[in-house]
Amino acid sequence: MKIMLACNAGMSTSLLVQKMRKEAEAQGLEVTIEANPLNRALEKIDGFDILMLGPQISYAKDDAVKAVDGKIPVVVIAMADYGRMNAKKIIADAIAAINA
Amino acid sequence: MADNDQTGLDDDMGPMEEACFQIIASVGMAKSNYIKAIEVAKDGKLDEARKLVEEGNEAYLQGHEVHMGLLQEDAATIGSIHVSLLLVHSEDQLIQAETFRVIALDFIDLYERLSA
Repeated sequence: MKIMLACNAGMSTSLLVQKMRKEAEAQGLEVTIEANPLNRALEKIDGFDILMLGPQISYAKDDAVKAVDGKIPVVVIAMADYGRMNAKKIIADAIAAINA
Repeated sequence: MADNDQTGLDDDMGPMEEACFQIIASVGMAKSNYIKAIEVAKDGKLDEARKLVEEGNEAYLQGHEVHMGLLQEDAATIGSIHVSLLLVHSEDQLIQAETFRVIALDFIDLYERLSA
């Protein structure tokens, strides 16, 4: 499973990635997680299973959906989960969206 | 600060990191709402635009309160708060949200006049 995270500068999501990798490892999941600013994320999206947006760029969701051409789900991370860096919940949401 | 076990918060995340993330998440969400409001106002959906601004204001307030708490703590302890890049980033998001709110309200007003 490959998860791409995107926010404005990639700064806050970089921290979130560390938490998510740790959580995935604890759960024994085989996951690749990357964080990038949105433009870069879209350039590198090939091969990823899901694109997750930070709440600070939820306004760009429509554009992101268009950019990935409906091939993979685009999910906005809930404000509360993002604010608490709730890696467990975010990973569960990613799995649910990929399997939906 | 919130109970770590209840929130699913990582144990190694300090209260300062937690506060910064709460600010980034809430005011970032607010900023996003303001930008979206301009977009939908452009399409003539003025009520939807105003609703987005209101929801943005609520989100903004949550982040603003956390930030205010930090300022008060800093004042009470004579500048003991460590200024990290993450804190600066959260304040950057805060400023962007404030700016976009002013712009969004003005744009909604403008699009309303154009469609009148």
